[in-house]
Amino acid sequence: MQGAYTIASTGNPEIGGGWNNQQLLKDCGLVPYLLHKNYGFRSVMVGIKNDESYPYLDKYVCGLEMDFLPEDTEKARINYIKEHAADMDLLILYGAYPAYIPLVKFYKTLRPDGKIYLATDMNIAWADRIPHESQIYKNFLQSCDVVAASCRATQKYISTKWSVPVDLLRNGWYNFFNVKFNDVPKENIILTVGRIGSQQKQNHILLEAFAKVANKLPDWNLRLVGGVDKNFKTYTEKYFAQNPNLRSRVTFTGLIADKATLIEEYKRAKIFCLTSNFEGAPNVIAEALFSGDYIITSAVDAADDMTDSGNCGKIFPIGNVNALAEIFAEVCRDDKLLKNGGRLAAANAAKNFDENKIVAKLYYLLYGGDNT
Amino acid sequence: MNNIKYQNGIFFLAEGNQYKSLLNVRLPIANKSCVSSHQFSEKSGVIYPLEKMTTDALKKIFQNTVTSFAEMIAYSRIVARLLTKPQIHSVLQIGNWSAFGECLSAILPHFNPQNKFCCMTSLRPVGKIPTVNFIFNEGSDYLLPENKFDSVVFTEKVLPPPEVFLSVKDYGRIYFIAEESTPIDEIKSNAIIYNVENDTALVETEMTPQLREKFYLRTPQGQLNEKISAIRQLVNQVPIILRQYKSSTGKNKKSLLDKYIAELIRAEKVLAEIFPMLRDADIKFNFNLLKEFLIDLRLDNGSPAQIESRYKILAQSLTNT
Repeated sequence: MQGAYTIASTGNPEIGGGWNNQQLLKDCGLVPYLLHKNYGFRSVMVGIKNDESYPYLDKYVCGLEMDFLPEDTEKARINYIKEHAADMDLLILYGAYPAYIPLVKFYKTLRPDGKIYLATDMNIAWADRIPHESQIYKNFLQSCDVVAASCRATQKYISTKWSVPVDLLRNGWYNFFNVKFNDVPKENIILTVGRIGSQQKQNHILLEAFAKVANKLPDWNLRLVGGVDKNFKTYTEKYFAQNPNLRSRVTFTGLIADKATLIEEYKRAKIFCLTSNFEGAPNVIAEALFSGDYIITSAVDAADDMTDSGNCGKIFPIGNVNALAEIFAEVCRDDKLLKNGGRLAAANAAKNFDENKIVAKLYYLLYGGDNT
Repeated sequence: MNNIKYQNGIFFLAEGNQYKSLLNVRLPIANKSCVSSHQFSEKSGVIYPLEKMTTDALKKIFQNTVTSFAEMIAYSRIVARLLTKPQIHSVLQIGNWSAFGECLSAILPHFNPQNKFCCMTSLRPVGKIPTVNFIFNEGSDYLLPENKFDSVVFTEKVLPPPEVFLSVKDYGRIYFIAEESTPIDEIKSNAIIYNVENDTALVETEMTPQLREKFYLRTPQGQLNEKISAIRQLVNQVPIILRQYKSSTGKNKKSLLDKYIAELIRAEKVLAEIFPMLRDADIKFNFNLLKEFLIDLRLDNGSPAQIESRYKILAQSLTNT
């Protein structure tokens, strides 16, 4: 049995040097899980212990293993690689972090025959900050057998800069929940999911755009799902003070940790809206597409991929409240557009965001076609 | 050339920076030849005997460590051809198994080398390579005279002074497989060029200007144009490949695509290598689309109608980018 090890980067502010339970159902967990399920790998996720428990391990990604490092340091990772090199046939890295450079170098010393998959999942702004011309970084990239971008735009961009082939492997979704398009009646809901109130998500754009058109769309509601940043509460209090009539129409559900419950939110909504000022390729999009939500997104790097170049959604300029409000006013009153768009969204998901297909492609790129 | 020594020779093959290891070979037994390799080119495939080579020249030859897939293929072919030569007793690869393992495993069976190839490594290989003997050990047991070279173990742990390597010349001829950009002037009249393609040896001084051009003195721009041209040709084959794909069935479909995708991946790596010289991102992007399109086809095995539809999309994309 071949071993696939996914090691969290040290010093990563987003994942804090380890994995959390939610990530087990995102691409960073799904790729190793499906390598295990579909290709017989022993798949292990490695990092410090971020959560007290990992219920998804038993509930959804059965067979995926986790190893916890004693501390969030390079030394701990090096020791881990040293200890497990014999079984580490495939090293999976998430994010093109310089912190990975010594790990890759060490791994290749011990396992020159081992393969490395680097999922960059980066946005273009991040790509611009990477010292891709430095020899050390070039060596790092060249050590990787597959380097992937998570959306077409980023792939095109970094392909023109980096001296390695860059493949497209989107952040997909695995349908644990047997979601089928239109298996529940859709409601007039605009949904967003994420870290509500964070600087990146720009949720105030969504709230303000909705407020602008709320009177024109009296039967539409807005639901914001996710933990709310404490600094954002001041903003929302002010928002409701200025728009008291929206108190009953704008709902902050808080974090929905249970994935099945969260999926119900996607299934109910007709529209999924993303207002971020930057993104790689957010995992929520795949979930929304599979649920047949029409996508309205800011012009982040993956916007074309998310909307299938406009077939199943619309794109507005980042930070432009008026443009978003106009889109709401247009699409929310066009039921035919939403129905057809939802159907095309589900088709886009099946074609481009099915994690089974994505992992099949990864496997092919790593090992060729013999075992597919 | 001393034929007696040559006939009993054992070729050491070391890739990239493995030459450092090679430098440390204190050949304990006479009549052993030594071959190292660096960046190989299928077209040139030259071997340089370096008995009189200076340390500095040696260093220059090995100053880079880049190895591409195409070079691996070329290397494998070179190895395979060496193995078919009756005067070669066995070939020893020092380390870096992984880089060439898959290529060799694909190519060697066609040459039936029968245990002539041996890989020294302390790391386990991936996959089944029936034609290769693996020896796992560390240390310097290989120095023992009773060891046959088939069972020699070489590690990188003992790094050598280059002078040690130069002393190897006392034991036999020392050959290098080198690439076309190797600074041949450093070797000049001491070099014997071995052309793997037609299995002939030429004394360097006998080489015509045309041969010199062909083998190792092409300009970087010439190489670049040649590579780009090859890649364009590959891309232009798409309609032909697709027609073949549509008319073939079952396993043939997949193997046809596998073969072509492998070519594309190989070419993509060549593209990445020449990218610093190539600011034509357009080619690169078309290339990505093409490769993805074919991989999608390979993995989905879609209906003829789907294939037709995808082909139209691809053709449009290629035109637009």
